[in-house]
Amino acid sequence: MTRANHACFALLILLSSTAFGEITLQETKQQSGIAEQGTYRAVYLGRLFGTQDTSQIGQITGMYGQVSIQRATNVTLYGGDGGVGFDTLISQGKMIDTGLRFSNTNQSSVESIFLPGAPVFTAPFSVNAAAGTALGNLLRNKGSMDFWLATTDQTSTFTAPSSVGATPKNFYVQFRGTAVPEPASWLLGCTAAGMGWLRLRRKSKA
Amino acid sequence: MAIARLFLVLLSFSLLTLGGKDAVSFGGAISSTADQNGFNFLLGQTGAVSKIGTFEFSGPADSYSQVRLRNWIEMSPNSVGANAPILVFAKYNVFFPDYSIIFGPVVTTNLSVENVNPVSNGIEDRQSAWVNLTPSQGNALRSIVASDPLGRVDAWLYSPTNRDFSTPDVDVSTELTPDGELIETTFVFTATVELVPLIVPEPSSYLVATGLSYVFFRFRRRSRRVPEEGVHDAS
Repeated sequence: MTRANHACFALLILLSSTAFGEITLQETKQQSGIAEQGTYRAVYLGRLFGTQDTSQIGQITGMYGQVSIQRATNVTLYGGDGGVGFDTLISQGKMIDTGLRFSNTNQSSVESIFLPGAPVFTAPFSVNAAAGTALGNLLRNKGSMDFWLATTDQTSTFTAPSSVGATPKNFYVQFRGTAVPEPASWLLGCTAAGMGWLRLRRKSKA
Repeated sequence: MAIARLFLVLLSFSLLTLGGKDAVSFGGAISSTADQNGFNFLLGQTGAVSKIGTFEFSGPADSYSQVRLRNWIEMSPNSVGANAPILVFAKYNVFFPDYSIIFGPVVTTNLSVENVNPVSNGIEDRQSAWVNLTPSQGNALRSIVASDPLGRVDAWLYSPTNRDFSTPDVDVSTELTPDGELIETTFVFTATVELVPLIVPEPSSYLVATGLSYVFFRFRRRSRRVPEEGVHDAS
C-alpha cells in the first residue's frame, strides 16, 4: 500500500463516519388527552417534530419517552401518521409500535413516567430494527409524527390528561437515529473510492 | 325600654318562625375538606364508581337540607346529562363495589358533576351549585354521619353508564433538567363537601315558643296601655 492508498482509505473512513453519525430529535408538547374506545383503548398525545429538520434521519436506534397517565397498565406508545381514529390507523399500518410500555405505579394517581430512566444515568431504550426503520422513514418522508398510547384491553379506562387546573401536562419523546448521507457525501465517497481503486489497479499492473 | 321591646320583638319573631316550620337551619352550612382518595372501581360493563374521600361532620343536626361539592375530577367530554357521575354518600370505610349491593346505608343525591364550561380533557377543580336534599336523603345522610363516632362519611361519584371519570389522589410530575436528571414534584388533590344542617324542634320547643309569644303580646299590650294612661293623667 502506498501513501496515496492510505490517504484514500482514511478519506473513506472519514466520510463514512459523517454519513452514519447520530442524530438526536427531541420535543415536548401538551398532551391532547382525547380518548377513543374501540378495539383499542387509545389516547391521542399529539404531533411532534413538525418544526424540526427530519430530512437527515435514518434509522431510529434508541429513544426516551415521557407521558402523564392515570389507571394505565402496560400501554404501548405508538408513533405514526394520523391523529383521529386509532383503530382504522393501526389496521392501515399507519401506526408503529415503538416498543415502550407504560404503567402506573399507583392506579389512583396521575403519574408522569419517564422511560427507560434519567438520561444522565440510563442508556436510551433500544428500538428494534424493523420499528426503527419504519419510524425513521416516516419522519424523513412526512416531517412529523403523531403519538398515541393504546392497549387492546377493552376494560381499560386509562387516561393521559391534558392539564391539571391551569398547568399543562406534557409528553416528551427523544429519538436517536442514524443520519442518512447527503448526495454530496455519497459523491465524495464514491470519488474517493474510485480514485483509490484506480491507484491500486495501476499499481498492480505496474 | 326601647331596646327591651326590640329584643322581645325579635325573640318573638324567631320563636314564631321556629314554631311554624318542621325544621330550621342554624348558623349556615358546615363544611369538611379532605384529601381525595382516587380509588376507582368498574361496575358491570358500563358503570364505575370513584371514591372522592372521607369527610367529617360534627355539630348538631337532625337532618341536612342542601349539599355542595368541590373536587378535582377528570372526566370525558361526554360526561353530561345522564352520563354525568352523581354524588353518593356511604358509611365510612365500607367498600362500595356495586351499586346494587348495598353494604350499609347509601344515600344517592341529585348532585351530578358535568363536564361543561369549559369542556376539558384535563383534571379540573370544579365547584358545584347548592343542591337540595329531600327529607329522606337528608335523614339517611344524618343517620350515616351519626353512626360514626367521629361523624365520618365516605363520598363517592357514581355512574351506571359512564366509566371515564376519576377523582385522583395525587399528581406526580417529573421534569427533565438540562443536565438529564429527573425532578419529581407531588400535588395532593383535595375535595370539600358542604352541608346545610337542619334542626327539628322538640315538642317542648313549640310549647316554649307559644308560651313566650303569649307573654310577649301580653307585655306589649300592657306597655302600650301604661303610657296612654300616663298621658291622660298628665292632661
